[in-house]
Amino acid sequence: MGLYVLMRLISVVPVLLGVSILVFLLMHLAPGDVTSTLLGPMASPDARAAIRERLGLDLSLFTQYWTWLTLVLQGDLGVSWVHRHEVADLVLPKFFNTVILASAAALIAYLVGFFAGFVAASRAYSLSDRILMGVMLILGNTPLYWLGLILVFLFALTWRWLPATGMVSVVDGGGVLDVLRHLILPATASALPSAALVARVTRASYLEILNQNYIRAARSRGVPRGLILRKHALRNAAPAILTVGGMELGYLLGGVVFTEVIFAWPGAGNQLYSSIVGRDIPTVQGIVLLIALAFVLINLIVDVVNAYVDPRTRTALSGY
Amino acid sequence: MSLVAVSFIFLVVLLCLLAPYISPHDPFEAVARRNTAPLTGNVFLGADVDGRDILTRLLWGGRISLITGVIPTVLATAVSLLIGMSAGYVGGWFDQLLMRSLDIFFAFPLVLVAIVVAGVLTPGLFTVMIAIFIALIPYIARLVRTTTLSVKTQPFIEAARASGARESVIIFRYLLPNTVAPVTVYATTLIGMMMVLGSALSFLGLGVQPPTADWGLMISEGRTVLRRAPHATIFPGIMIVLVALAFGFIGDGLRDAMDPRLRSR
Repeated sequence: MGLYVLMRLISVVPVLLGVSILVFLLMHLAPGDVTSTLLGPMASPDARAAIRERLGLDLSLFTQYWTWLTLVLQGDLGVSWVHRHEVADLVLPKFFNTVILASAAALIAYLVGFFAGFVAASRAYSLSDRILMGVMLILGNTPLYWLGLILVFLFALTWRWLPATGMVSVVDGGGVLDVLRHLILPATASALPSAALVARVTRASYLEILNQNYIRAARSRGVPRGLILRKHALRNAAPAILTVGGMELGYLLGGVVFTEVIFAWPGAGNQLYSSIVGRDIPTVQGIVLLIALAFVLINLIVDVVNAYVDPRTRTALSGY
Repeated sequence: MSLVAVSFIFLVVLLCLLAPYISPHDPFEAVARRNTAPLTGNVFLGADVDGRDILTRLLWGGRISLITGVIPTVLATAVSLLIGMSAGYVGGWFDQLLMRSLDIFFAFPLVLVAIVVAGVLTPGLFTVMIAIFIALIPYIARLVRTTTLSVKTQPFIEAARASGARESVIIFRYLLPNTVAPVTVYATTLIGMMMVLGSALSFLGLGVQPPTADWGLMISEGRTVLRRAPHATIFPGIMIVLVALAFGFIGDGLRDAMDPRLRSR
């Protein structure tokens, strides 16, 4: 197990190196002259030359990458082109808000998804199974941003139960309860499409396992049905559910861009969006790098947990 | 169910193709008062924030949505077949090099790749397609490679080689057909998801630009008058859900047809 974790950690290094190259290249892939973005189209050639020198754009690509990487490894993500702030100072607090939103969404997605899948599997092929899975199927194909708007329309505009935007109230805001109230709608909107997939996988893996001989044996020994579902079957259904759960966490991290924009949640996704629109490349680079790092870390944790739960997967180092 | 889905998609494609002839109004012109409710006057599904007929714009917008779902997925599948099959068939360091490079893309959520690619390029229909195309390749290529690896070791390939079949015959006559089947199933399911993603990019303003009629863009325009005219947001969303669902059903149907062993009980 220790060896597995070590090998898996080592396998992350080349991936992160590749990630850093791609993120670095973002600066150069963007069409148009960087100096025009910074100084406007009317800038004098002298000013352009000065800014090119300051950013090191005249150096070789490799030198630029090396300088950038050294700084990034020291926690220096550069200076935002729009806000005149250190990117790290700008992005880290927002990333924390995103983590709050994504964790809440993940919690809802797993609880709802697992419960729905469990109930559907234990009443397989009944009417309630069909209705439940039908609803999940529709949710799974619903655009996240549209679902968010529908929730806003119902719960914030029509019934006025919950706030539609922001993270804290303008007046007397900031308490834990206040944040929770603001969290409900965006977290639910992000969670439901993922919950649908978790439910499908939970149901499918349960049904597959309930057909196996050792379950039949347990049943014939007179083990209560509830115990079989909760203990015997869960052990073997867990790896598939965990894997899809981990994948969904990554999907949630990408999807929060939409929920954050719709609900004006002050997170990294929202910042990424406004930085893209404002052509603030260093900030875009910083956020993409952070999300990729989080994503790689999540996958790592999922693999390790999986290896712990299901020793058979330990040999499959690369994930294929 | 998948037959219903196929008929539905066929109907949607037909209606969208015929949009210039059957749509009741001009998609860009105001024909009613702003935010007119459905079933009033000359607008069956109501009018949007600029007084344009929503039914007309749904018909025209379907063209863009179908294009953003189908074209990048088909192209990405073609490129992925090339990458995945050559990696799986040649093997060795070549395989390692290709697959490790694709691994880097798996470090980003798919949606993020699409958003960043679309965001860096100039907004437009072409950009949406490029963004989806790039984001998809790693996923399909990985499936192609895995399938190629498992097909490659099967006895009938060995038999072909033993009977002196040429390399090209083995690849195109034996390997390709057996690889295409599962990939087609996967790609069909992806079409619906990519249509959703494409509309999402346009919703963010990174894709198709106004005044083009596009389902994602219509939702984004409806959002500004969500309280007064919810229908402007609701109808395009329902269309996206229905079409995405239909492609999902077709994918399931194809899977059952191609491999009866997997038939969902």
